[in-house]
Amino acid sequence: MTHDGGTAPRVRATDGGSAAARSRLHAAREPDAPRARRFTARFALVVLALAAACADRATPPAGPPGEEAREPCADRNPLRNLYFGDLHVHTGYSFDAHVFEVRTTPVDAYRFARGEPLLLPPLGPDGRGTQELRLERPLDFAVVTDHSEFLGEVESCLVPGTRGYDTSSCAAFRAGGAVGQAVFGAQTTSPAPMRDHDVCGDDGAACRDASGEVWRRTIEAANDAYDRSTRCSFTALVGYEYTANTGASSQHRNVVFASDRVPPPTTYVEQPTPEGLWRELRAGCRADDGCDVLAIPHNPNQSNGRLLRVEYAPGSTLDEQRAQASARGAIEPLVEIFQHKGDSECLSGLSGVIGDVDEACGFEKLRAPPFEDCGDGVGSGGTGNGGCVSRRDYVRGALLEGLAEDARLGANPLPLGFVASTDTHNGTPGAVDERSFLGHRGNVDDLPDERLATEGARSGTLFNPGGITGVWAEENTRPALFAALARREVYGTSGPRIAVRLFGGWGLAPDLCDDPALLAAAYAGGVPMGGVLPPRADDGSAAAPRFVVSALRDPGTATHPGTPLERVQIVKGWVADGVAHERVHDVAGTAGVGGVDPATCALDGGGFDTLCTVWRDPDFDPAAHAFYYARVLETPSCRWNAWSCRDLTGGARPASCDDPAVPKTIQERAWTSPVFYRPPS
Amino acid sequence: MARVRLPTARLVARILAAGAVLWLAQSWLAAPSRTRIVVDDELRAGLRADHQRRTGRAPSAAEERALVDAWVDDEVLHREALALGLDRSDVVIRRRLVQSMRFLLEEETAPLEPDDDALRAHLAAHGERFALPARTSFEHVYLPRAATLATGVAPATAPLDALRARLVAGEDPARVGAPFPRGARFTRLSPGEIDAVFGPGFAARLAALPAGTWSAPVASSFGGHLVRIDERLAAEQPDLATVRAALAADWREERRRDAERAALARLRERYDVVPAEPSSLPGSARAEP
Repeated sequence: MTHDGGTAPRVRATDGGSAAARSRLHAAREPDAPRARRFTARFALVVLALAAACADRATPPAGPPGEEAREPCADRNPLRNLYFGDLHVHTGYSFDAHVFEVRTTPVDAYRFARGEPLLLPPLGPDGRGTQELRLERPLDFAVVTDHSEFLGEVESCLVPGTRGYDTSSCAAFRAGGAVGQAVFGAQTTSPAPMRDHDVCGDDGAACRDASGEVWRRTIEAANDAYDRSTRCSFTALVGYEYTANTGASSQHRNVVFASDRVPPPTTYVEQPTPEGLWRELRAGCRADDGCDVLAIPHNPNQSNGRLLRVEYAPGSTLDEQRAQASARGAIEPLVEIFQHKGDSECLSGLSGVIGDVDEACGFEKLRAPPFEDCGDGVGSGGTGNGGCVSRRDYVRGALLEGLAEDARLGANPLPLGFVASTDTHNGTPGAVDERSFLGHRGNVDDLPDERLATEGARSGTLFNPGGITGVWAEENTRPALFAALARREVYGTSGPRIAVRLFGGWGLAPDLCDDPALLAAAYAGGVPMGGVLPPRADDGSAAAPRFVVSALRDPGTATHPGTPLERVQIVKGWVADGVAHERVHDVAGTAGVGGVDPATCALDGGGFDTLCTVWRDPDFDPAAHAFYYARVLETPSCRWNAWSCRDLTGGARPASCDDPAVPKTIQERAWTSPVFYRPPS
Repeated sequence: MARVRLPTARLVARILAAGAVLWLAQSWLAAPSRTRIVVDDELRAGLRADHQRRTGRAPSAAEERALVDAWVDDEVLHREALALGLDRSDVVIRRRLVQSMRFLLEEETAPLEPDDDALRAHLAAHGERFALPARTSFEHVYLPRAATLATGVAPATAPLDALRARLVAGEDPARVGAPFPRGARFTRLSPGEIDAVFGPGFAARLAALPAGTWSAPVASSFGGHLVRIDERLAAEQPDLATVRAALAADWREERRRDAERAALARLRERYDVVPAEPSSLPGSARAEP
């Protein structure tokens, strides 16, 4: 079934004034009778909404999770189309966005994703943003993922007349800034988080109730933005961010649903462990009700080894561990490999992995040596870029740990595919263009001086505009996109719209790149990215698996031609006799084929429009669990700061523009989800 | 003759006395409030709760004295600033109050649900925003730019014209050209969607091609393509059912803005907005630099 717009009146976020001021306003304008009528009308609408909600629950769903009443898509394609989108987007509903003057709503964010302009801070005298931003290429899909934790607190603090409005907590929250953020946000680092009882009441119920209304508006915004016509031009998924920060280590997850049949958001306050999150999701989101859900851990690079740590209850049996590992892998099949807080693919030199230095790992790193290696343990302080660094803070290390567990248990708790996102706190999904970066967090970085600052652990130049996710799906609908995410036929890019396919198989033809029907042949004879290789035939016809990678550069836009491709690499990780290894193979293209002038940002023209190759693993060990993913590198181009600095001269030019320690160029890239190999047991 | 009862002197004195008491009471209660700062239990409790929230524990007696002291300092400064009228000249405060008032106005104007007539009218008025763009379905055969062949990693190809001859002769397009990762068939894409796949200008080039036949080579951001246009759909106005959700959302947003404007207009009626009197002081009418 579908939900057209909500029936209850919308309560707008407000920021200031008081109940008394509001009643004076009413008194000045209206006699009491219309007020009473309006109240009655509101009450009636609420009753209707509740009745409708009950009716929803009572209606037996028509089919499998995510199936929905809608028109079929005109461009449905069994060989799968490519859709670009952003799975990590905050609006002013997030406590840590509102306090920095972000006033966008989910409605605004979805409009922005579809190509409409948005006004960003700094706010002008009329309380509206003063910098206009617009996507040159709209997105195909987006998910607004506001922090679930304090949806109700934010709402209460902004609506005069609620129980929380006149509390000192709300006053401090409304005052904003870092102090306002900490009023509620500090709870996300506490091992025993609590709701503010002035604002929420002794049992927290007032805030949970208020959160329900915000969640309803969030779902309504997604439903309004979702194109259910045969054009299938845009999909808005329903989601939120679960914000566990225990030990000041980021252990956040984006929760994404297959449909709008969703339970209330789980929060860190009520469920301060990932096990609690998974338990509540499994209990509240049931296939019988038409619900399906994934949790996507994000930017492990600030987690001090905690986000992708595999732990079991003390004393659990192998069978119990296997069941746990397999359940975790099912609900968390993806990880966010890149976002505005940098790269989480790899970091050379961490303990526990054997392999050569991978020079391409030195990309958008938040952490610079010297730092302590967590070894097998965990640390604290990652969200402030402090504490130890773990190999599990980078997806390659986490994947290896998953392989080792798979070898030990026969179930992989970390079978991770890759997505990339912005994590914008401005409500600007997909705003990843290096040339037009206007910041990602309200008035913290809305001015060039702030973005180009180099001082401090959170200095602006460490950050970047973020990435996007490519999804290979039959059509642009909620069920099709969700299914692609669940089977990991998705990939991340650091921003550019590189198109890349990866297939692995035993019988893929070595000349597949000459075959115009490559896609049909590869689907027939192999598995796409995210898949697990089927068992090897016993007849000895294939000694080692083959992989085909086919990539296209970003085609560019009317104002910017995009950057050519430099190389395709296959990254292999494997665990043999309990030892983790990694190796990077250059499989297509030429290192150094193109370059850029960092002062003018002009490309020298070298590079490739398309790269395609079939590669066979020369070191295949049939007894070793392995993963294979493709990394597609562009030729170097200007980093966002070089674009900003290009137009700044004299006194307006911050020191970082001429600081050799701040990188001026980058090699943008795409990372495919891996293809996995599991030896026969 | 009837005697008019005049208030007795005693009554007058009583009234005057009562007035004096009231006046005194009022001045005692109100006037000194400008210079009297009351530190009551409620304030202390609030400061203690703040401290607890920030630090996780209750303040010691000394800390509480310091908190009260700091609060009193702030209160003194706040009142002095108000007395000097600083609140009226501060743009941040002005902005904040303006913003608060706008939110209050918005709150006033809870939008309703549109009925079909309202939606139809909205569609008629804003048809262009909900119109279906022109859409094109086509199949293509891809050939990378020759320059990329130099490295030997891209597939070898024959010239496009020779490929076109094969297609025209009826060869299966799935056996012609180089693989294209995004596929060979594209169905009902808008010009914007076509350019997002093939690069800027490609949709315009397709628009110039005849339908139903393999084209001469067309350039994209990736190289050359032979294209066969299979279907062209003109831009069209959608029917209500197709765009109902988007239309209703847009209608609500417009009603909200209208209502806010109307509320602002009503408030404006209370004010006379007039041009400034020309000043007699020389030079004061000049624009500021």
